[in-house]
Amino acid sequence: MAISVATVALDERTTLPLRVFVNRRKLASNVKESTLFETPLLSNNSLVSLKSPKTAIYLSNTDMESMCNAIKDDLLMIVYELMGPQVALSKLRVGQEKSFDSIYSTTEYNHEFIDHHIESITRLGKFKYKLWYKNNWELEIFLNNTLKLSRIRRYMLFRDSILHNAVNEGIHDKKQLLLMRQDSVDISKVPTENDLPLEDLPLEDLPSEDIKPEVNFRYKRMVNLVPCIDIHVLERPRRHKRQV
Amino acid sequence: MPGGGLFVAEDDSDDELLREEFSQQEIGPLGDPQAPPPLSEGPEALGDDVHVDMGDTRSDDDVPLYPLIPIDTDNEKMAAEGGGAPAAVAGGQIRPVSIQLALSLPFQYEMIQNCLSTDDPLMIMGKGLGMSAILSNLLHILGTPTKVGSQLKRSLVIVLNASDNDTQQIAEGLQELSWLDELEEGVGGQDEEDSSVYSRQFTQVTSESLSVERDGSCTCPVGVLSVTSRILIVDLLSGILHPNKVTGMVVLNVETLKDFSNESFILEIYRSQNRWGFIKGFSESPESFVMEFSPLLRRMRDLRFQKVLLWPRFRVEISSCLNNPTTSSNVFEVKVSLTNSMSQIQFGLMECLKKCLAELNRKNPQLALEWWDIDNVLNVNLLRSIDSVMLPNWHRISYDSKQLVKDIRFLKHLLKQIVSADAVDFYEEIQLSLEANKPSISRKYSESPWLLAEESQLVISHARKRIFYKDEYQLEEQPKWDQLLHIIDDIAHEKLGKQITGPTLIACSSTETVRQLTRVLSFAHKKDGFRKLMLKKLQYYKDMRQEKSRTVNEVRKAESEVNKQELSVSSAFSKEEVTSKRRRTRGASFVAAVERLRNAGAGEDIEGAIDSYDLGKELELTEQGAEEDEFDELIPYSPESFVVKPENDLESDQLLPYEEVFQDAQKSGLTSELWEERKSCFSYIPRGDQIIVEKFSNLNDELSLQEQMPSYIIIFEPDLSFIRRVELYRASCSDNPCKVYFMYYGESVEEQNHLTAIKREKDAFSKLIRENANIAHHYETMEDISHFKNLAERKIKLSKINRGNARNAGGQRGFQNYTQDVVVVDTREFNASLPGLLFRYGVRVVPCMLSVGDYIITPEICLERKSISDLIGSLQNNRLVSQCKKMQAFYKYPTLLIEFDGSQSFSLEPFGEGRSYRNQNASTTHPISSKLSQEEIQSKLAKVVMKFPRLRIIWSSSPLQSVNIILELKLGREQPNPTTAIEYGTNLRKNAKKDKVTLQTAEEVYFTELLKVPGVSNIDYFNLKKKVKTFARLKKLSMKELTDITGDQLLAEKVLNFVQQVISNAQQSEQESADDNVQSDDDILNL
Repeated sequence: MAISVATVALDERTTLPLRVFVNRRKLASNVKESTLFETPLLSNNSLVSLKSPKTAIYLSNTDMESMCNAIKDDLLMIVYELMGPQVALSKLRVGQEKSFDSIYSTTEYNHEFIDHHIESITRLGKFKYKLWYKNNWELEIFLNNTLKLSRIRRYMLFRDSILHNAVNEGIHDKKQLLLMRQDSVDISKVPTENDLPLEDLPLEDLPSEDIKPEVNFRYKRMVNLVPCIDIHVLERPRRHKRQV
Repeated sequence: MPGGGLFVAEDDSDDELLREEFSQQEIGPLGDPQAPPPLSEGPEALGDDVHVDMGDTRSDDDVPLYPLIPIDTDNEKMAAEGGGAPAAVAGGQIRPVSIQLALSLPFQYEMIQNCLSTDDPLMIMGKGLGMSAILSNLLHILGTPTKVGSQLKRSLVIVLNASDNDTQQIAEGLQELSWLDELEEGVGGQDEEDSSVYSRQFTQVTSESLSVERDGSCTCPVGVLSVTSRILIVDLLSGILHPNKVTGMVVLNVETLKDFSNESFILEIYRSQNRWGFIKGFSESPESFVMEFSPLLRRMRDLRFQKVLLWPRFRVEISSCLNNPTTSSNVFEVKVSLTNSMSQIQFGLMECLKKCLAELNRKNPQLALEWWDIDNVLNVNLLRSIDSVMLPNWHRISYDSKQLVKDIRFLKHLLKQIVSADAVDFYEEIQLSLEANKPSISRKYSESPWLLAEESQLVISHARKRIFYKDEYQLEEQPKWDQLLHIIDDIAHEKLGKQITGPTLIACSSTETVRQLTRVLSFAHKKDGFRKLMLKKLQYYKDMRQEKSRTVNEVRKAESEVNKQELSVSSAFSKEEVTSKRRRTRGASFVAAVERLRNAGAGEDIEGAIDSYDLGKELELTEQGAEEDEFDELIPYSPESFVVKPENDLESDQLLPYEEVFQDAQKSGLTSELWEERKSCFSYIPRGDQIIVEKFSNLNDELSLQEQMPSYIIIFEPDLSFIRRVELYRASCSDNPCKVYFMYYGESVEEQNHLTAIKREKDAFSKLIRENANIAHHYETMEDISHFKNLAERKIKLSKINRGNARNAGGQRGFQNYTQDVVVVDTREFNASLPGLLFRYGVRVVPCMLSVGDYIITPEICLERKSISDLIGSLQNNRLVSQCKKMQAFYKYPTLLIEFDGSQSFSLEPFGEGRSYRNQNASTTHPISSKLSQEEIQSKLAKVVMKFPRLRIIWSSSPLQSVNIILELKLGREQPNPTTAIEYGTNLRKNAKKDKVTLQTAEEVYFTELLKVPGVSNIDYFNLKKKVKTFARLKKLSMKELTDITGDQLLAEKVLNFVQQVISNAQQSEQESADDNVQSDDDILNL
């Protein structure tokens, strides 16, 4: 399936995973392949013919990064503002759709410096909402569990205070995430055990070893929050047309 | 009625009544069975012209004699009008449909084809071959809507026995496919109809989602539906959903279904009414189909499968796809050898296990299986097999044997720990067990048998040696850590040079290991990182131990105080008990011998050494000079890391006050500076920089690997199904293959475990293939399904009785009374297997919401079924009494049916014990505790019997026996009437609300509310209840008297506070009502 996970850092020690789905309805429409298999479906009066699989479509790293940066304001607004007590999301009935401004901007806390592009909001279930984003990208942002989101918000706001232990239940992913960071480069350093693997490197690297600086890595632990935001990509911005 | 039955009296009034009852229940699509079927039914209805007779054996004679589902007057038409038309019939009607699939590998494709073209298959596949992808694609195909004439018909596919995880994956898979499909429709430019008609909507119905979704979508369900079996069975039986409306059933995780499960019940009903729909089953665990005697055949009969499809990993289609020679060069096996101590411990543990098993076999020669020997020690099924033999006989085996079973469990746990946990954790584990086995006055001989084996000393001394040896801290690191670090650094260097997009994934077996590894990696860059890590761990262990001994002392102190007051005799003993911690108990010489052994050799008692050693000093020493990562200091001990501070639990308990604080604080305004700051913090993390540590069970759906798209995978411990996943993943993205490192300890249980796992699966498959080849083909006709045989038997029995009665009662009357057996069952009872069994024995099961009793079998007999745990529970909270009271009020023979599980022993004795035995944590239950509870149960039951002299009690050893008892009871008696059964309850409820509760039981309520007071335990409550009896008396007690009774001043205070509060509340409310009266008087005056 075409799901991939984009990880964004909310600050230097907290990360939030976003699950990104690519909706192929609009993205790909030109692949036609021959039929592989046919069988009657007995419980149905149909003759089913199955088509060969299409290759999954993913966003590339660059695309993913540009998308995440494009929706930076929106994401931060979702995490920090939308779950706040001043936004009355629960007034929406299940299945009801409203323009986003009517929900958000009417509050006294409307801040014009937030540059968001969310057009409408739909309530899907008890704790589920769908936001429709349209700017360069066209996205559907699903908030799968606003309960968790509001916990995450509290955690982000009060993490440094003494109280933080009380709120962070259920918002950490079981999956642990470490970030690879490059340490400073110093050739004269006494070799530590970290350098040993250099010996295991393939032979062709050996001659260049004296030129190659010794690099130490450190692995930094991050607080990984649970995924509760899904993003369905409906449309990707066009690349700049080649200048003639 | 067409095809009226042999025994059904046409003008039977009782039956008439029943039918009327049914007609009230059959709301919606079914309508009144007496009335002619309506021609059009909602959007999916069809004209009559579509109905074509199937070519096969169907004719009017084939209508079942005793349909156990609400009777349709026109079965045939229903078949045509329900969900999709039966089979492809009229040639012109067949229409080709092309369907897009989203599968990455060719063999998955073939699996789907295979599954589609077989009738009612049970598909057993090897682990980790991508079940959920196959399932969602298959469901997508099966859910294809069809078109007959110009009318669109949508299909209803029901998914049974799906776990939450399954449903989520299927939902996501189907969503993906529906996108593809919409695309198809759009391109084809077919009719401009509402495109949503084509979508296969996926709904999940569980008890939680019931209230919301059921009203809307379930009355006219379409698409793919995942239902819990309890809900579906009620709907089927009460006629809300007719089997003919269901296109097909898909059963997941077939191996988890037990005998007489609700699923098999559902499938039976389905097949008896619907001959054209499909049934498909899936399982990923071939091993569970070879355990007993021809389990495959039995399972297939039980669930109505017709063919078995086997897809082992070694099947050509799969292996040709996965064994790609070009990519295999990127797999590195990293074989790490155990340290000397570790292998010694491992050897010792194996020897102990061997001895324990031999001892167990020797002690229980009648029960022991040959299979329980050292060769099978590593088999995961060993414990299960021992359990399944021992538990039914738990009351017959000796105490020693029970200890042995417990020890085998513990030793296996240790075997796992030795490779996965670090030295300190392992030592802690051993130390705990030793301490638990220290001789004390109350249990002289409860020394775990494995500690008596010589090899146990090897284990203990080496476990100590890993921590402390020759006056020095060894703190042995796990050999894998170093290797892991090398690999990770390797990868890091490689990433410097090349453009690598994916993250690094480290997969391991448990959450503990996940935490361990993250810690190891985050300490890695420091000098002597591992040493520091272990020191911290040891420090933590020390702290915890002190904490523990402090609490133990506190408890002891409290205990001895209580004892002094209650039992003056025991104080002499208790003194000894306290001191006996170190001193040898006189007389128990073998204990002393063990103690000597334990202290012999290298294994000094190092607890003292740990206590005296100043860890902080060394920690400081090692930390000097090395700059500290401030981050590590900030969150190393946050709850998700390895240390769970005890205070955290306290805090989470008191969450409420904090909530308020948050509410206040949340209102702080937002400024643009703050926003800018947040924006500057925000960043996208490139995938290449990530190192993800995750456990196997979270990676075991194929989506997760695809989601992460790792470029490097480090398999920290061997795991069969994960390796398969990696294979699949590599095969599906062959253009950019990932590098795989596979780590394991050479010559270890770990390696052996892995090898046996592979072998076991292979053996299981080859067995299955052989069984499948020899399997007898099974054909059935409608008679087999219609329970005809059973009914015939019943008739013979009945006629015997009637012959006896013939003299006094006139002739045919007995026959007239005999219609079909009916039992009214409470809807909440459908979790049990009894209703399903009743159905199978030809009884018509009528689900109703009953307030009185669980089963109404005749107008006079009402059964309340209790499993043992239920019984104990409802005895404790007095529910049983109220239930009996209700039953007695409405029925002549209120009956309590105490039903044991077939696999438990048919005696009350082993209960407390048996249950705690299953629970690993409570390993040291006192033998007396279970006896007490048994006495308690008996006395309570006796009280119930005395209170309700008319109450009958039936003891039944298994659900099957219950069925027989019920059938016996029903012979020759009238059938129950569901309408009255339902009414009984509701009337009672109204009455109860009116008067009883307020007057009679108000005091009772107050008493029970005591339980809610924090700090008052159940035991305290029972003590109080025993001594004080009524609330009125409790009110009058003084502080001193209360203290005397409870033996605890604090507790007495709490109780007193509570009582006073209750009294003052009562007074207040009285006053208020009095005030109200006064006020209203005033009002009147004013007016």
